[in-house]
Amino acid sequence: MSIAFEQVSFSYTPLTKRQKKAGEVQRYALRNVSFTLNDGEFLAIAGHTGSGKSTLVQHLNGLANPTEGRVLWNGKDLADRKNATCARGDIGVVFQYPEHQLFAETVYEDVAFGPRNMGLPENEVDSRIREALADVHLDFDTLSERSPFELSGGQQRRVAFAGVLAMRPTTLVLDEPVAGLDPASRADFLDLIKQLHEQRNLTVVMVSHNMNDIALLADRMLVMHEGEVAFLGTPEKIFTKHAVELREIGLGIPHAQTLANQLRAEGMPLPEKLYLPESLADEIARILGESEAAQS
Amino acid sequence: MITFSDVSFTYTGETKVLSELALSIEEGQFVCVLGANGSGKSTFSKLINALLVPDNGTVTVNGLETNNPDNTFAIRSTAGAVFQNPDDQIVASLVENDVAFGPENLGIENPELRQRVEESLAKVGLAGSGKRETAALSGGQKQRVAIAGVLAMHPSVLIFDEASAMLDPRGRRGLMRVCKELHEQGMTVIMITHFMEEAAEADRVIVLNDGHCVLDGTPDEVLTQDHILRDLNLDVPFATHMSRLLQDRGIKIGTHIETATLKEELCRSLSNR
Repeated sequence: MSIAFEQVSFSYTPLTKRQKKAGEVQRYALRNVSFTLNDGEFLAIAGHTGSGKSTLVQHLNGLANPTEGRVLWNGKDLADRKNATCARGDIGVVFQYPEHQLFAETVYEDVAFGPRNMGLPENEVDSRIREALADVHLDFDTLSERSPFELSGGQQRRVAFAGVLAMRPTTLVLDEPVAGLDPASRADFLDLIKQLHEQRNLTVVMVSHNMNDIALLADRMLVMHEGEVAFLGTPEKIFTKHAVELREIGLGIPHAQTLANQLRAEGMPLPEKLYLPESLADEIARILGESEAAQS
Repeated sequence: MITFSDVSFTYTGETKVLSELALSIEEGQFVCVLGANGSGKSTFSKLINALLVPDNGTVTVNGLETNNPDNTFAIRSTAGAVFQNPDDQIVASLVENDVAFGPENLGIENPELRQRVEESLAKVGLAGSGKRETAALSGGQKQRVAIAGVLAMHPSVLIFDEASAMLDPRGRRGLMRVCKELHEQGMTVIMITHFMEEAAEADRVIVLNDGHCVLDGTPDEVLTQDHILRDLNLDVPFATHMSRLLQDRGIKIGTHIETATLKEELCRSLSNR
């Protein structure tokens, strides 16, 4: 499974030939975006509001089609409706605030919607619902017959998530999956995503504003700015080499990385690498500890 | 300015959301209210401007009791609120009409109305945007229009009920800057939030849990209680977390709530070696 963007540009208001002749300038939401999503990787997409992140996500399973360039799924062009329909079972998209899209009378019926649409027999649908609810740590016996609307916000989001997992996608696309959750649900949810990625070998694309989450989870990150790819690489490379540019385009870098960069600028001999709070504390303790040892 | 005297509140058929809450907020204070989902913090904010009234006890705003329906109008023009979802709070298609909605309902007429709209938009950094369409604004801009709409009613208290929760980092920073400026001009600000960076900038932090006030003090006093905050399902500021990790590794260092001061102390340790 792979998804390749080949020089993709997209405009919400493509110009007609006559407008082009009249010299009007085309406005683009995406401009010349090229990258390949590798099988089994965890790719984070960062960028502030209006940078083209969500438009890009809509191209990942053919919900939007490029104005120029193409998106290939296993070598097949997603602009072809038949290919896009096939791809939708394989690429599961969880949109922002997915709980707003819950609609059925019971949790069971809501999760059943996707697999039934795929035309699966009812016994297969049933086993997939059980599996998907278990995957998101919701108890089938106590919750499957409840109304999703009676559940807490965090549980509702898990139900919506289960609805996508029940289609057994090989790629999960998550648009701001933890926005609006409280700290504990946020940590649980990120853990869940990590488990699915590692244990099920799911390819994950996660759109996020949170650089700390990206540093913790992603193998690679793609930074969007004004519809273009500003940076693509490992979080380590981007957070150590491009801290200044990230700030300029309105994004931050992880807290630990900010502190590490500032301390290094003040003369603390910290190696240039990706820091999480724990690894930074280890490094600072080593440096300050050595000097204490040298004194005594 | 605002006094809660032994306030209890229960939504119909539910357990108590607030129980015997007693606290007061001084004029001109910048107060942050923290609490996990279900702690009662949104109920707290709605009790201030009489969207809800207590079952027991009293809430007074500028000496006016919220229980008395005759006071409701005066209280709502004193204490204005901005809520979480920008799209739920915009009522007009043009920015200036949206901002004028509140004061117009208070019976303010032109030319004062126009003047208030312009002043309020300037205060939130949207001077000259009156003719823009509200639908074309970003989430952060919509929230600032909502604030301008409240400011145009000339309140003395502003309540932000998770007003930054749905914004991106840039929108959040912009909102925080507006809050701080208004506070510096003398506004009493009550901010309900999950974000510790916001709480660190307040004069006072109140932590609610199960309808009780469990912590109340300066950001330095409250936000350094990392064990309690974690137990209550709240975030801990990065600097506090980092200070603890360093202390656990035998580094002698204070417990900070802001990265800047943590950095300064680490630099001092480095140069003293």
